[in-house]
Amino acid sequence: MKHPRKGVLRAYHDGELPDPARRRTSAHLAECRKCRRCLEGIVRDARLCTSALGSLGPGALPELAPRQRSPGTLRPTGAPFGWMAWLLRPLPVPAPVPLAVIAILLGTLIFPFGRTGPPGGRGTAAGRITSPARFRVGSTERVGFLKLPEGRYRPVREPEVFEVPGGIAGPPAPDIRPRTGRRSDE
Amino acid sequence: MGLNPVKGIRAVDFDATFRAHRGVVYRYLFRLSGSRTVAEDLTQECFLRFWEGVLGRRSLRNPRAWLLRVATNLHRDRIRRTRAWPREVLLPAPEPESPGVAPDQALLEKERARLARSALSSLRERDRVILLLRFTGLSYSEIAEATGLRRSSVGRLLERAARRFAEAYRSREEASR
Repeated sequence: MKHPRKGVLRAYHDGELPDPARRRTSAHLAECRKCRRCLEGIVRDARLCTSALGSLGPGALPELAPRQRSPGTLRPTGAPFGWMAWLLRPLPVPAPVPLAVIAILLGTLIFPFGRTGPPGGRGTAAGRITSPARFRVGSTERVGFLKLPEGRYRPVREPEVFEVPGGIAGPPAPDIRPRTGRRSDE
Repeated sequence: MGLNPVKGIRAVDFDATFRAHRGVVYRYLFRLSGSRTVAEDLTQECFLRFWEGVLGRRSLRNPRAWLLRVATNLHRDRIRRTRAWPREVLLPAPEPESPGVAPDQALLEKERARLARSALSSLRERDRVILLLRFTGLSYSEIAEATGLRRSSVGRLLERAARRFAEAYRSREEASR
């Protein structure tokens, strides 16, 4: 008879083989010493896995109260891609250093060497201010479950958005709605 | 026995599922990630997904397999995301107090856990997931459902994962002596 594969022997050990295959494997194991030795190895590995993984137990089950997501889940709203994350990564030098470099580069663009004043025309590099939304640090959620007094659970998912303190975000847009009814001066 | 006004289903179903499976999901995620904080976060997210997406459905054969599948995917997404945006610093988890355990026994357990963690992290992701799902108590059919594999492949992959884990564990044990 053909030797059963290791996967079949593992399923045999786990009691996951259907009856006909199980009977066939049992009959083969009774005759084949090599397969018995193979099964012993599988049993040894399975026992080691069970005892070693059992030592990784987390202990007591915590009460899962709603909590702020960990900072690792934060992502800048304007940076959905990997390259943007690379650009926005924390720098190994103090913040004034890259700011000074950027200021010098912008200065040379606006006031190039050999010219006495800024280039004319509209729409210079400094004039294009990007959307304030880009300067948000990120958004997060308060997620989880509230345990109600009667022992039931209610899900919570509350979004929150953080912005850079003192950033360039302007005042909120006025609430403009279409007028209804007749104008008072008519 | 209140009704969920959004989906028109009984809230008690969710509570029963939550109580029955949150321990399984949490322990699985703890062993997969090695962090209590991450395990708690992902467990919450997992059950939120269950609340939002599954409760309306009528035919969910095996909620445990579904939850563990979502947990595995959430953990994979988290790894991918933190690689792209590594902002999190994991603090060491507080040591669980175990009264009545001798100090040398506790030290031995700690060493075993360290070796197991190291051996587990040396495995490929699929091997790790299969091994932990089986250790969680899932049958081959449930593992196949949770991982998207064929049922007939589970035995072979499980045997290979267990062998690799045992080899890694034994080699680390030898090295630490």
